[in-house]
Amino acid sequence: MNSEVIAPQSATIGSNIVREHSQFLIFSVNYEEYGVDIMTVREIRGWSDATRLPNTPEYVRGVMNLRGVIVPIFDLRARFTGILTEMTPKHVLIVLMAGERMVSILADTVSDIITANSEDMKCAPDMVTTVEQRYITGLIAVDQRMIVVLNMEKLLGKPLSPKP
Amino acid sequence: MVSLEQFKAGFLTECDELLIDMEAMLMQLTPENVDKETLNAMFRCAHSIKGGSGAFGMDAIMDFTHNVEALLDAMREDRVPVSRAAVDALLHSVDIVVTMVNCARANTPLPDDLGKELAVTLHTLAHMTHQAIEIAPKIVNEAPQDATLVVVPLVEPIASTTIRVDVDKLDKLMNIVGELVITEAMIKARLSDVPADHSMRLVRGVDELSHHTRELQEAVMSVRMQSVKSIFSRMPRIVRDVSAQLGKDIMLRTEGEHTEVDKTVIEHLADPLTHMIRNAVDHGIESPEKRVSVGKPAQGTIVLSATHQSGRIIIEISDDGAGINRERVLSKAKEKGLIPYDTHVSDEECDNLIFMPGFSTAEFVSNVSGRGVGMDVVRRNIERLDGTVNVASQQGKGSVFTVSLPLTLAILDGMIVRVGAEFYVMPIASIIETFRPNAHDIRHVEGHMDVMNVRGAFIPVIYLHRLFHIPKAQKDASKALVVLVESGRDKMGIVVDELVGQQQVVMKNLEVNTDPVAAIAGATILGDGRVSLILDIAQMKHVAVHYAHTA
Repeated sequence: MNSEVIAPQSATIGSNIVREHSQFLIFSVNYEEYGVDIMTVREIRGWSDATRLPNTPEYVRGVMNLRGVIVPIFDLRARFTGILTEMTPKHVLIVLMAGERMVSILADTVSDIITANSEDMKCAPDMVTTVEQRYITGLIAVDQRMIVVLNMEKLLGKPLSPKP
Repeated sequence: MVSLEQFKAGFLTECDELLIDMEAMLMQLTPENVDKETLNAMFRCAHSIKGGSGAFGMDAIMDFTHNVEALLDAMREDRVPVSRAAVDALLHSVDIVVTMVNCARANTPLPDDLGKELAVTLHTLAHMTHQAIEIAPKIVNEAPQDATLVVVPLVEPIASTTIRVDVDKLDKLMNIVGELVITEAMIKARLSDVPADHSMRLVRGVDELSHHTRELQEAVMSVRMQSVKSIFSRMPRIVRDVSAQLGKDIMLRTEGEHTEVDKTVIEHLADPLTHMIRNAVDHGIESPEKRVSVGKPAQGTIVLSATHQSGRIIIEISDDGAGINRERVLSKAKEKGLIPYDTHVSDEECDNLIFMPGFSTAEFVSNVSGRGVGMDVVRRNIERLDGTVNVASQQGKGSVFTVSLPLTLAILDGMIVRVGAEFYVMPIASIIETFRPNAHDIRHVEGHMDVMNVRGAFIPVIYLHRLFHIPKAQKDASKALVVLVESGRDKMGIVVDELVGQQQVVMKNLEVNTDPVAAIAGATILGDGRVSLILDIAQMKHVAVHYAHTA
């Protein structure tokens, strides 16, 4: 495709001309910045009382009622570091689709939305983040920030081998 | 579980094969070389595709193949000569149908004008020759059939009274009604806050609303009801195949196949029923020789029936076979340590031993009904649906398996219980009674579950706070409450802090968005908008035993 015909709304990062651009919602958990494909995000809401699910891992904080749909809440800090998040009114829940499942993740803050193209997305080298590599789609470097783009489907979607 | 989608996929595969056959036959067909049998075979192909696509609601394929079928019909009855043009048009039609089938498989919409032109050509080909070869009576005969192409209601006025609705739309409707039930419960809960002298008219209004909500709910439920025919109709084939394999002669009779039940139940019914039918064929009915030797007709009979009984569906599978061999069952059960050697069991208790886990033995396993799954799995599956299964048997005369299931799994009467600060829902149907036990009636056994003496019977006690690790709950059963529940033949006492109240709850599947949780059947939304978990009574004991051993 010729660069002249690119629609004006396609933003640029650095000096790269964006070809296949995607937008990512950026949020932070435990002072690290993470991104998720904005197309998967359904809504952002405050913490609401969750119903605990017995005998599930600690990072499953429970389920909530989202207009009649039962949505689980995952504590990403607990998932990655094993330490439960201490809830404050500033914490937010990001409701998103992880594959076919609707889930919500507990984030410390939501910072912004960035647009990046496929060239901005770098492979994740080992040992850079606390997250296992198979859950990472890639890394985006913006200014001095490094954003870990998560593969929510792999992280929180249906288990690969469902029970028989 | 075989779903409609799988049937549909199966049909589409069948279409592929039929179309390949048809193409091959068309290649053989020339005006000089007309074989009547080939024409018949092609007609059958087209007819099968038309019929099947109609059944699966693939109207485009059905409408188009109707034209193909009509032309082939005219050709095989010699009303139309086999011309080069006709063969070409038919070959082209095969390509069109292939495209249509592929679209149906990929769930992509068909191109708007796909095959439109060709359909007209096919139609004219069939008609041109009517004029060419003047056989007046046949035209008259043909006329109504052509008319169906354009004016469907004239031929089938009944069709206009039913419509086909997407299941997703029904589910959505059901969801909204569920929300309405919840909102109503919420209003009712708040009603007690209103001072009595103000609330009279309000209470009356809310009662009215409840009435309407219930009616609406029943109406929506009735829309989702399906007849059990879809499952019953699969059984004759199974009986035929399995009995042929075993060299038995068996007739299956079905009764009440129009009995309706909610689609949530239908979905879960196929597996247990299939298993029980196989079981009846394999273990129930004797070999023809044996039957004749005891003075029975060589042909065995299995009757599969469905009826409604006090808000539940009752399915019976009866056979006129040998009945359960109690001696053998009893010795087997004792040998396997399922019951102590010195116990006396009644005939009824003995028959029901076949539902015990681990009963299925090597001797019983055959390649027909023994696939490592015993009747205990059947019972567990049925109990998971809040149902029961029993067997009654008469030596030499046969056995009757009776399955009782709720009409729907979407809504259930629940008892809300509190443990610590958490609320859970128990299905009322499984509750026998609730009481506060005396401390000396409860026995503690190290490494096992506690047991409780209830009027002489020892019943396992399950502490919900231990099983679910609930903080700040009443740990002493004699200061808390015991809810005595029953699941199939198992009884157990579940220790809770308090009974909060009875409420109709809308069952939501937890597993849509999360992994399954042990001993939890689903979730519901209570009047205050919070999620509450519904206990899976059938699974509870297994989970509790597991925890008692690992704790």
